[in-house]
Amino acid sequence: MNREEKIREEIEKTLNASDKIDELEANPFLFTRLKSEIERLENTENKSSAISNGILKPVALLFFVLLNIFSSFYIVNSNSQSTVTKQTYLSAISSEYNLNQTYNSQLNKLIGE
Amino acid sequence: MIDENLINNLKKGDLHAFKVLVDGHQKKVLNTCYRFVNNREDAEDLTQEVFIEVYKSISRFRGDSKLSTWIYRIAMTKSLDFLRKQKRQKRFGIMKNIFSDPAEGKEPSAANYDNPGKLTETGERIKILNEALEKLPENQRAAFTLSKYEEMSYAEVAEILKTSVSAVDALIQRAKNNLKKRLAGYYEKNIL
Repeated sequence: MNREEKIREEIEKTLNASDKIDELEANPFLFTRLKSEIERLENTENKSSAISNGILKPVALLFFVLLNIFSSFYIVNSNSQSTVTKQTYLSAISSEYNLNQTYNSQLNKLIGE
Repeated sequence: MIDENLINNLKKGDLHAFKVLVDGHQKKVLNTCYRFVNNREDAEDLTQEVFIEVYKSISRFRGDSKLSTWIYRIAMTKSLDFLRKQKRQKRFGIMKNIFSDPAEGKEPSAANYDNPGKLTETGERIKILNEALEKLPENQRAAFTLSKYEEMSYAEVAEILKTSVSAVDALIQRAKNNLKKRLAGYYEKNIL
């Protein structure tokens, strides 16, 4: 038998070796292990849902209420601040260009104040 | 019909139905995982994960395929995920060894073959075959393993891999050709 034939024979034998792999027998304790794992998972889920329902939800609600209140105050304050800022700009412009009261009032009308 | 009742009871969270399911499929799931990972302990852990996944996601099972096909698909996916994770760990181990003090570093562990015939000639051949199988692309390996070891029909393999029968046929042919090439390479080096 030459080398190539020997190699071919070895390949065939190795490919056929997979037929001789023994089957594993099932673990008789698998279901018990599964049952305790399921119970553990369900307990964890219950605990986490209890935490989320009991603590996280009210905290999140309170957070959003406070956020809304803060946003409302901020918007109201920034509006009044912007009116003051506009007035400051107007007086700065009028003093820069030496505009009199008439121009000022006309400028106010144009801007819509 | 039996499957339908079983599925309905499983969806209700019936543990007795779950026991029936586990008893009926655990041996095949265990052996399917084992064919991929070649280690009994890992295969047992994966089998446990498979059934937990089945229990948790049975409500999403729509009955498009047979229950057993769905279970073996989960087993195959979990096994392939495990192998990917193992490969990443090996790569990380190699990198760690390169950049750390050789005295501290450990050699990355070789694949752990846990076959009863480890020391026999057959055991040695199985080890060589498994090493060649590990180098195949995932889809070829899955098709070859399910068909050759689990003796599933091409139609069953196609359902598990979510592909056509002709695609499975092509995958298995390519897997066999690649295995032959790899084994030829091995024996050319090792036969004097």
